[in-house]
Amino acid sequence: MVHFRSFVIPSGALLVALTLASPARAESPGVGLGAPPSTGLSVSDVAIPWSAVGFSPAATDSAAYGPDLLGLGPNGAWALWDPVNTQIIGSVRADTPAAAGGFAAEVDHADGLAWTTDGELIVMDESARMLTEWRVTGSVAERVASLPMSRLCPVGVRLVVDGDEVDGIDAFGNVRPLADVSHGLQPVAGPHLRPPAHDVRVLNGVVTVDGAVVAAPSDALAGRAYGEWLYVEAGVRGSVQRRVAISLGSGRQVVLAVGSVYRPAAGIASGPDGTFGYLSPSTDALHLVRVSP
Amino acid sequence: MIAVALLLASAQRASAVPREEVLDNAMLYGIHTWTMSSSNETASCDSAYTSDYSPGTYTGLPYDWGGYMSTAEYDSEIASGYGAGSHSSDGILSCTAGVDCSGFISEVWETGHYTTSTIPDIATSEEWSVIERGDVVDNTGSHVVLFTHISQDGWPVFWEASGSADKVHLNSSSGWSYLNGYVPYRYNSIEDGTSTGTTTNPKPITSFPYTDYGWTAGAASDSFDVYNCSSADESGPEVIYHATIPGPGTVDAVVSDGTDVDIDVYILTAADDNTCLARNDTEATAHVTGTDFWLVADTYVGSQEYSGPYVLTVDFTPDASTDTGGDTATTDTGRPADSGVVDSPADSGAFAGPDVPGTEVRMDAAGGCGCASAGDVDAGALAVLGLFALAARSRRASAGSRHR
Repeated sequence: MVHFRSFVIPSGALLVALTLASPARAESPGVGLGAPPSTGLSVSDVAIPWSAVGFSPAATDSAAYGPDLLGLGPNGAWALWDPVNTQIIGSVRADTPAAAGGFAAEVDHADGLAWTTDGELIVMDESARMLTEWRVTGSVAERVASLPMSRLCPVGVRLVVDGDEVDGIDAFGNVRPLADVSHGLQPVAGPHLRPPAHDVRVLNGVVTVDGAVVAAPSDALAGRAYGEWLYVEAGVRGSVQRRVAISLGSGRQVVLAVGSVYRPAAGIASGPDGTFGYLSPSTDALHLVRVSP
Repeated sequence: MIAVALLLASAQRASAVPREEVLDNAMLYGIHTWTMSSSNETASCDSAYTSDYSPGTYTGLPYDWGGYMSTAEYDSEIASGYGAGSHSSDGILSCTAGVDCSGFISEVWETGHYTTSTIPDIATSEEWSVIERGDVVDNTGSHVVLFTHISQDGWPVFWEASGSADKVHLNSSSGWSYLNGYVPYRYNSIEDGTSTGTTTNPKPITSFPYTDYGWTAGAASDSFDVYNCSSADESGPEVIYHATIPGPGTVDAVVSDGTDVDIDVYILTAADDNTCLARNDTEATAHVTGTDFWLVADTYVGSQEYSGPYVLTVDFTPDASTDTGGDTATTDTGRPADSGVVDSPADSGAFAGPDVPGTEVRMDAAGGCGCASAGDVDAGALAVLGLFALAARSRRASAGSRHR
């Protein structure tokens, strides 16, 4: 069943609203409003009140969790998967989730969200092996097409849109073309696998992208390309100390805030306009932080 | 009360379990296909419960807080009307089915039921530098995942039963920050080595589309070095698969691996490297005419042996004369009548034609994704003899039962 409704942010609740399922049960103190230091980069912060999204506090053998699967679209559009309320929420605008561009759509399950350059939202459901295309008009989100896919087997893919192509990035970073959206949601022709856009390697703290060493923290553990950004985690395994996003074009870096109330599984994304975004769930609100070159 | 029940129910496995069997067990949970009816949306023991899932066919066992069961037990309980999955907010329910994080680990380790707090009783903490596939990464009292590998970009890849994902899934997106505060543990009775994936004991391809997350380093077979269809040096270890098919059709096999790993895929008519129909570095396609075929994920050897992890996906499209018609392609499912959306191919632009070999639009009605079931057989005559998988599930079904 799919239902549609408007996305309504409670009046005056943008920054401080907390619900009974309160993130105040944080595992460590909050870091604050997220706007991290940056060097020559533009940083914006959308605070989404906890009253607008679900949060599941930690319990025995159950880690806390909340909104996840960030997707960034054109003109500042964004979307999140809210697993507690089984809904996708988002906005077709950059920084005003309570404004007319906000929307919500109830879905059973989502494993990935990505926007097309035309502003339509693609939702991946690996469990049902289905891609779905949503058209967002004002505050109304309507499902316009679904594409069952035999190859959406559980190989850990991350959903991205590259031009008119919907891709899954698998556990090895390889690209699995899934669909073409140039004329609606259609199966894509051609090979089922191709190498990643960037060859990222991390060895002994040294990060290379396409063979060139990147100025990254010397204790880098892992790095992954998101569009034209490189996301790096640094520290030691079991204790990541810093997370940075590095523009592959300019080399400029921004330190990411560390959310305190749960750890998103896929809270990082890049947008078609060259932005990098991430989720920082803090005690006061769920922060969607975006960085522009 | 929960802890007491778990302790009473726990019984450590006496014999060792091979690493590859642990990984195969995990895969079974991740690719298990099941069908939900309206009776699974509610739960008899809790009127407030509502499943996250709605009627349909799904891949991957649902997350069920406190759940611990084999895939066969899950199917049985779903058929009996148990609720599909649950979360901590539902409380511990005896009338829902699925696995939670530690229940999943207990099943794949074949240990009896342990929790994130009691896993250290049967495992030894390890340094991160020596972690291997089949070990777990545990955060006592919170969450536990089954480690598989670190990709070339440094990223951890692991299986987990996650409340957030609502199912068992392969997680390659979360990074190390997701595992802050976690400690690696090695099951005391895990052992290296495997006996499957050989010419005499191939891994069965149980239904289509088939997926396997495998590993050639240390594979049991290292007998195929050069094939009649290629001069490539494949003298590294290989994993051998076998499929029984209802008749002629087209096989499409895709193998994905990482940097510094080079696994090639071969389609054979017999367990013989001189019967090669097709091979490729990433994707091989061949038309097969018999009642079975063999498939090999083999390690290329150049300046070094490029063995390691890979994901293999295999699809089979029967020739038109042998297609029983169970496969369908559709442009929409379940759209509510009041959505105001025109439900037509012209509107959606989505594929609505018959199955065409090579397209990706085919979905068998049972949603098969690696595990044979009665639904798979009925749907497209694509299910094949999954003796190993069925035996494994049967064994666990007889060995374990639900403990909460």
